Amino acid sequence: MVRYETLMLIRPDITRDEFSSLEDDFARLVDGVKGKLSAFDRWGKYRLCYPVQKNSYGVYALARFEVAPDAMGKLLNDVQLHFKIKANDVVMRHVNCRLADDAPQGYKRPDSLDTSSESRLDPSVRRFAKTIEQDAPESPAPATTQDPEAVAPEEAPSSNEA
Amino acid sequence: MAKKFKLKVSQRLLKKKVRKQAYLTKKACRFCTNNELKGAIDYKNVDVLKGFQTERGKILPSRVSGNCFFHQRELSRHIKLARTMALLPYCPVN
Repeated sequence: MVRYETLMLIRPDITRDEFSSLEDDFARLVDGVKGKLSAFDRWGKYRLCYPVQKNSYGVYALARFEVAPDAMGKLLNDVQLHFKIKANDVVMRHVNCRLADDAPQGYKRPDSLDTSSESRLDPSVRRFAKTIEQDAPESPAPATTQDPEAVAPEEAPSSNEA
Repeated sequence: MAKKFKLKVSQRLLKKKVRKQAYLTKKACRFCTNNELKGAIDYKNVDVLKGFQTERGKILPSRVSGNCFFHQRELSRHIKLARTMALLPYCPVN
């Protein structure tokens, strides 16, 4: 049995129902060639390094499966056709990669927007917000009618200097 | 019989020799020597791959990174895979 994995880049506005149907379709494809779907992980929402199909964000999903070497070609072909025809609106990009026999089950992945503790603002927006705070003039102390002496000290130095 | 004078090697020449040897010593491939980095070259492992890119997103050559031929090829393959999946940029925008 050969181990493979498929990383999918999905539209950011995907719903839970659409995601579950995508998972079911993928499992059906793997079962069709008598393979075994070992994992179907949803990574979460990520900010892409460049816009893909005019989307700056995307949802990643990783599917790991085992299949016999004879049926490997047919499965990869079916997966490609499925993503191109049926799931064309949902999956933007995908890549298939063969795993080594001694590859571990766990893997490292970048932090998603869902799990990161930082602000979800775009860094450029955050910088713009900071400059606004720096440039904003200090709000003057509210002058109350009950305390006219609060205004008087500001005028006092000028009269003394004169 | 004339005395044989043993010439002392000057400090300057010694330093020159040390500098030349440091330049000639080949960098060892970190993936071959370090067991912890075994399996670290993966298109999903963006933190490792970022260290082998320049500021403009170009892949560092092996004469700079010190990687052996096998690991350099594997690294470049996984960087290109990560680029197609938008995990790494082709050309980062400042």
